[in-house]
Amino acid sequence: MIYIGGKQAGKEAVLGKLPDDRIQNITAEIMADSTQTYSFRSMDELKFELSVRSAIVKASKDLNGNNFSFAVFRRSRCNPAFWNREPDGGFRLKSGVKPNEAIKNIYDQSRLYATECSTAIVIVFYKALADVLPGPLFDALFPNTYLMNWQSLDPDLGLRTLHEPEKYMPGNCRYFKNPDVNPLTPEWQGENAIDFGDGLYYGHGMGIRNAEQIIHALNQNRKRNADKSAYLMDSSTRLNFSRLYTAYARYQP
Amino acid sequence: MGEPNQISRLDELRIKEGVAGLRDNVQKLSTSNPTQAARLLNDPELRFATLYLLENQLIQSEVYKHLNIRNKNALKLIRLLRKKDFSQVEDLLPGYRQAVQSCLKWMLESGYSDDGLDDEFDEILDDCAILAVQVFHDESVVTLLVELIFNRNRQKRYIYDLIWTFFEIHNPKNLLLIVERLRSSNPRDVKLAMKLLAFIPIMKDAGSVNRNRLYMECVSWIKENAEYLEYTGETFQQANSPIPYNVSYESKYLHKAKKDNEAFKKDSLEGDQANAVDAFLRLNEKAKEVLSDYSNVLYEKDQKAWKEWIKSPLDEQIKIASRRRGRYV
Repeated sequence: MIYIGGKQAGKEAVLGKLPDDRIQNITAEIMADSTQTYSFRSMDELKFELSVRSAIVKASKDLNGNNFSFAVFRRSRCNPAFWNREPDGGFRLKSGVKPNEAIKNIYDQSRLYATECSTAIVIVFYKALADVLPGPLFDALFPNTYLMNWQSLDPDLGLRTLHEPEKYMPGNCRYFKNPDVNPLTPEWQGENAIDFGDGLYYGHGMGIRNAEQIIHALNQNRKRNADKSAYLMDSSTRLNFSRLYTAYARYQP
Repeated sequence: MGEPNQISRLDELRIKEGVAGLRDNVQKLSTSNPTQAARLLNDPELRFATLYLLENQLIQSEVYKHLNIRNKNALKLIRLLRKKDFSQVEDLLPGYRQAVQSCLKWMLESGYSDDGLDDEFDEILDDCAILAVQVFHDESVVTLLVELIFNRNRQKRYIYDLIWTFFEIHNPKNLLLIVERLRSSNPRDVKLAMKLLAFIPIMKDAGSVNRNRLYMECVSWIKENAEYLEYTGETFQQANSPIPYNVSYESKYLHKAKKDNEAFKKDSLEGDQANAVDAFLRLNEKAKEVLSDYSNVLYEKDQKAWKEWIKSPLDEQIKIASRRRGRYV
């Protein structure tokens, strides 16, 4: 169920106000058909969340389509014109560089970059926001961007992992766990993957695949005589759209 | 084990004359007196870092055949670990399990003080720790593993493979080693410890609770719940605030230790307990929490009274537990 300004909004009425965007429409349908309540202060807030979710899927496809490579943190690399590579393998925004330009550079000069799957997902989230938010607002929200894994995120992203979500939405990050991984290749311990909402997922190093294909790829990297298959965990990680919308709505150029 | 300050001659040489000096001296000695060179390398006090730095010249040298088993095994393991070839490590296990385990332990323990030597050396130390705990289940290295994590964290270096390994041990009692860091004078230690322990309930109030109380509450929570924690598989690769362990309420309620996520087999429970757990599992989470807490407290205080209480109807149990714990469900 979708509630806008405290009142339930019908599915057809909501869909009629959305642009011709498959991801936005799929997401709105999932919300409307759910028994769970999705509340928004206004139609604009709903539209904002849907457009960011759509931008996350697009940013995933774009990252998959360019020359951005996979590398473990010890061998990660970045464009030194925009980022400093830190001792732990993360990328810290260089002083004097605009965050939105630094994020976009990862896509523009992707061959200069290589990192692990969790950082790639963080990059996807930032890129989606860089595409949706005005540049100055993005720069104000994320002035000290540090790209590493989930541990070094800007609190304004408000990423939250729901452990047993009722519904899975396009633009959320899911996790495929590989419990019997070859212990010498911990980078195969699991795969973070953006949910496209149609059975496909984007995982850095894997590409765009369905769940079965991702599980198969992880299973190829287990120890000998492994008896546990990789599997898709129930949890789901999402942006704090409400907090981001508040900043967006308040923004005045 | 030698005295803590005992140092081998080659390590002393490395420290005094640097890597180039070490290599140069060993090269000369290997040519003039390979037996003497091997004797120095076979010193029980030799540190792994020195062997690692001499790897290339030893493999091709006359000295190699005079090396002891520890050194030959270590040189072989370096090659396998560098290739990430776990299947060849597995091939060694049927005949050489003990030798591989003790060699990995030597590499880790004697290599620890040289952590940071170079990226590859650090990665090999990580691999030694990973294999020691995940393949050999050698918990004697866990203290060292925690030292490595926190020392590297102070230097802002890479720690996440080691953290993954720490949790893959699936032993909640090891969390006490992390809790100790809450009392560190180094703010980076405290911050990391709080991050790793964020799933412990008191951590939600970390901002308003003094560190001593935080420490005490964490110790108390771990001691109370360690036997009943189940590993969820959540890691820092997956989430910014993973919950690696959940309290198994049914396990705590029945006062039966939970073994690695295995559901209770009903035929392992006595009749009353099997019925009790069936009814218990149908309760909501809040009720399960209150009942399991009370059950644990009562069991510790008076086992006879606990046996009576656990046999009483569930409604009655809830009434008593709610009243005694001051938490109503």
